[in-house]
Amino acid sequence: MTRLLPSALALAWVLCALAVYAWQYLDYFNTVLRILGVG
Amino acid sequence: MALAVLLAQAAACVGFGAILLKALRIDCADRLNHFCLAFAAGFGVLGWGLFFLGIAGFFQPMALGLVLAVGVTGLPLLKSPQSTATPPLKWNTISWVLLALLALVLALDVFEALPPPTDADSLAYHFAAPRQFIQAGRIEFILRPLDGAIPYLVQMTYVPVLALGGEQAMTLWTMLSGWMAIMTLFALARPYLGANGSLAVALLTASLPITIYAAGTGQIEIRMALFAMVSCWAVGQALSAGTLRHIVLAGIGAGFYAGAKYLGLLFVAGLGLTVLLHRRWLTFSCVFALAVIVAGGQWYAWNAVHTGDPVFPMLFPLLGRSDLGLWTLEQDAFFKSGLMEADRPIARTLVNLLLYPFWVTLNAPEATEGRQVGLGPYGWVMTPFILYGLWLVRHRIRRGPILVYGTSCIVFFVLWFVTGSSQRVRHLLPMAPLLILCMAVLVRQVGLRHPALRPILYFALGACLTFQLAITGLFGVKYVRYAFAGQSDQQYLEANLTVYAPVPWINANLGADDKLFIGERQLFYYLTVPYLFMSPHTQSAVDLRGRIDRWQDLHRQLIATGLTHVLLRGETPFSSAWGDLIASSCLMPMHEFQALQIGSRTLSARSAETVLRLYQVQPVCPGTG
Repeated sequence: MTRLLPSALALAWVLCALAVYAWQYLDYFNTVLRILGVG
Repeated sequence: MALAVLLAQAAACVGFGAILLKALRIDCADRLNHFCLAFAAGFGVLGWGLFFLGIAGFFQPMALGLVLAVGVTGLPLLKSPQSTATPPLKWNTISWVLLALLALVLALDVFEALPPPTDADSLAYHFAAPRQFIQAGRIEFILRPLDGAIPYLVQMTYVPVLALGGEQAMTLWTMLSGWMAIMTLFALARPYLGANGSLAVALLTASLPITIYAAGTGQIEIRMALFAMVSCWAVGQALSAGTLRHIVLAGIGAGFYAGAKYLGLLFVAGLGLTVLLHRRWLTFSCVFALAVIVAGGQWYAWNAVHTGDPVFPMLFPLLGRSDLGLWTLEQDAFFKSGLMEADRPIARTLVNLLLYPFWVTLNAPEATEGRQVGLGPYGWVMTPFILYGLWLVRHRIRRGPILVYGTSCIVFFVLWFVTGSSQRVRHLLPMAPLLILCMAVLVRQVGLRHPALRPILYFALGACLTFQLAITGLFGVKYVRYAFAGQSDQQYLEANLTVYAPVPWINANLGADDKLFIGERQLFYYLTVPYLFMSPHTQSAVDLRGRIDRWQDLHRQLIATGLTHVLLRGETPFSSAWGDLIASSCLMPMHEFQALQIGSRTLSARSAETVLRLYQVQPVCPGTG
């Protein structure tokens, strides 16, 4: 369990950091979806 | 023809660089590294030499062709007898995937180079100034702060391609020189990161928002990265081997950087600091400074001759001449308190210095342009791993290239922030390749120490690349459409360049004896008639600061400046005097244009329609006598 902790923490950080970053670009994603015809 | 000129100029750059490296007896063990450094150095040599050709009035096709021919003669020197073949890289499936993605990004660059240019800064001066110089047959002094009286070393390299191969050759040249920056980074990264790591770093840098925004345009930052890389590499070699010839190359590279942009002076200071790390610091720093002055001092001398201020307008109150007409002490004070302050939205405190990279990545103030033209997610996502990697190597940091790369980046950034430069993120692009290399080297250390973390690090890298590649693809859609839609250049420009619509009419109906007062700087490159930039910040001949109440005074200034026509967008600007001027028939309406105002080069949804009106200035009108 203890050996898994660093990996779990690292993964949690990466996911959170990506989510925080991606949040501000929602309008870009919407544009991509519109271009692809699914938005 | 465009392609032939492009290849000739590329060969000339490599040739000039080969001559310089041979003269300095610098030979990289790695052939790809040697080739890239030769291109980077030769690119600077070409820009440096063309200054002297330009002020002597030899910007004619014959002379420019001769310069390229001289450069090409240096090519045989590239194959140095000491060079060994590039060590074979360990390629695997991941390598091929990364290479394919890199090829995709580069292919989009080709599409971007095909249509006519639409980037505002490029059209206002990066491309407009070389075009003006070619038409004049010589370099002319442009008395305008920020985008007129500036160092032009990189833009000088646009002159031969534009003069000999036309606009297409010039846009292809920006593409190629941007590619060379990525290739140089790949070459420098291989000793530290291997094949996959180097490809990943190259792909990360090629798809950074700041890179895709600027690389395919006339903007110079990605090309300045060539100078940053060659000079930092050279200092690294000098610190390791104690060789003076590498210091000369470093000084020349840093001088080229300073000759390309005022911010290069901060780079010189940052790199100069690392030169002091050697025990022969006094000799090294003197030689370094001398090389910097020789390689980059000419544009500062050019400014000093014309304005008194070598870094116009930074020292204008102290050194500036009082007889410049368009620029006065009062105008200088207005410019610095207005425009420059607006370009620095983040207060210059120690806390903000540390927070800046995160701030502009996660919640960028509008003026920094960090949201659209930012640093990408890699640095933010990898922050804890980078810091941990730094902790891991704290006892093993040696005086070598990586230390120089990192120190130069940090010192440049600190100086850039504290000296009150414009806080636009894209101004950091010349240092971005080296910064990403340093970050990747530190993250790799974490992966080496803790193999269990490697899948997570790969996942984070993959996610960052996915995001950046998606943005790159979105950015490229417009150019791919142009290639296949069969649009004419005029149609493309009307759809993609802010308020382009009046340009064809103005070019057809106004002549060389007219002078247009125009606030649309993005149109300068396409105008074939004389013009003056209508901005309250960049000229004082016509007072646009809203202080003139009487339209008669305004009319007098327009006439005294030789302006014959005025182009206005939307509502009457600046002051009520302009409205009075129109109402009193001193400005006669000539033509009205419906045009598009482009909010984003990437997202067409942000465009809006607007109206522009062209007025003719009447020499005599009621009330002026």
